[in-house]
Amino acid sequence: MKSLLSKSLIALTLLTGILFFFLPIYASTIFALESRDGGYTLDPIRRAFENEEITQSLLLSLRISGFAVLLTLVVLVPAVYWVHVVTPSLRKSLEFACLLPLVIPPIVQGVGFLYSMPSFVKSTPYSLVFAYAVLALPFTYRALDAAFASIDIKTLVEASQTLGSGLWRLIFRIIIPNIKTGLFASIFLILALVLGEFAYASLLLWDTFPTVLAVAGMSDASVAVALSILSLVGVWLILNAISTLNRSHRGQLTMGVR
Amino acid sequence: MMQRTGRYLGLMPIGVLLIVFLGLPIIAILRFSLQDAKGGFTLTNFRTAMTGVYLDGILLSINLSLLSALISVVVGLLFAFGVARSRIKLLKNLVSTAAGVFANTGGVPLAFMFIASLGTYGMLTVWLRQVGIDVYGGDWTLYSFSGLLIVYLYFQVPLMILVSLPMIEGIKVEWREASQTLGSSSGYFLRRVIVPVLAPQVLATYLLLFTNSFAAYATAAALTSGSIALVPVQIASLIASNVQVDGANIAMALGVCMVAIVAIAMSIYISLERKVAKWRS
Repeated sequence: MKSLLSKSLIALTLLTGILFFFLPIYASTIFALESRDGGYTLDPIRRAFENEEITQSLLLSLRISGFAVLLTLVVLVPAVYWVHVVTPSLRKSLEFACLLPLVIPPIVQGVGFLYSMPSFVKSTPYSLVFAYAVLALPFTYRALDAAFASIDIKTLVEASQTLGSGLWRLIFRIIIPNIKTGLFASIFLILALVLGEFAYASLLLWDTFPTVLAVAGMSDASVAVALSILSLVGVWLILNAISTLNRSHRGQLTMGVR
Repeated sequence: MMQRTGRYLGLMPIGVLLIVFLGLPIIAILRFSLQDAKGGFTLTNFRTAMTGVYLDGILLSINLSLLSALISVVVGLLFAFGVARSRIKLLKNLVSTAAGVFANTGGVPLAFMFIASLGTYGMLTVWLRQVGIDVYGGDWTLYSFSGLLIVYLYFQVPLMILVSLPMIEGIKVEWREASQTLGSSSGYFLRRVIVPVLAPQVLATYLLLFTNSFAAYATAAALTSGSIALVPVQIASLIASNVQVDGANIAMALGVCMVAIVAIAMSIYISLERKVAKWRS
């Protein structure tokens, strides 16, 4: 009797959960795709991709995330390698420094950026590359640190050096293949962050995907809602890719796009 | 000397990135928050930030975050208990994947999804009206404090589930068996084992959820277009409009207040997490 009660309670909770999380997705999909005559149409999606402003903003966001990935690879990977191989005593300090962006809300970081950067930096949307690499640091650091921690990198490096491999061989044949999951997780994390980040872009008045989407909401509701659902699904797929890559680190992942 | 610089060589690029793109902005905020419009030293900005509409904004942000964190902790914990106790492994995996995904949802798309569902002309609003429930019959709107609260729960509750699943799985079956063997009731076990074990972790997660909602900007901005004056919304509008000469300075002071609040919450969070980690090992 008791187990039946607790079972039905669990079922009820699950049902409420499913309703709360899936009903808005369903309802907004209908909202976006219902045509005037009561049927359904994919016209809003076509209109979205024919809209020059929207496609341009999407391309800009993708380019920014590409550069942010490059910057992170060049700057963070050596640093994490360094604290794992050369100076393990500095690992805690690096962790602290990389988690700092979590303490400063993005809107505050954005205001500080606006009032501290010289105008030649602020005059291009690609200055966001630096801002986003910093904003993603807490998450990219964790992904890369976990990847380095899961292998005995020091022994690998020593072995390859004993066998006479040079620096490039060490980087491309030893280090990169061994931290692949961490690298992919970082790339996806940055992509998801850049496609959703709003505070910086709106303060600096750049037309990235989220800011253009926000404006589109005022002119064409079904296009905006259709794009919102597409971008949510896109981000969900990206996040799923990350959690399949990094099973153990699923619980730590939260992003600064809210 | 050479040796000293060599020790930090690999950390220099990231050091430069952090100093230029995080350090300089923080210094700018501190500096401008202590200046008047002409550049002279003053504490007026903080006095302004702590009175009137700005104080209301800070309190509103704190209220929203406390409340959304509290609801999420209770609901998320119940949900996680239900799932963790079920024997179906697939269910557990599905729930934790879904929670991981929804916990990271937010911003403009989330706001638009809710406007299309529960807004004045939203689909759910229409459907509910067809069955005789008019959500807009009273004073309620989606673009209000409670509307924003509902939207925030969409990412707050999953975050709680995500964090509490491993927490609950950490409660060993052996503990229950041991306490039963020693003759304790399940109520006693709950009070004397589960609650003391989970309490510090739940409190830590509560603070995490608080910060998560306190720092959020995009969702509120897109949903209410500035009509709910949370601190981040006020900061953004002070910067965007040039109505007040010292508007930017007040915005910086508000920013410093935000950072202080987040820093307090985070440092308690970290010390609690440390305690839990030490206790576990």
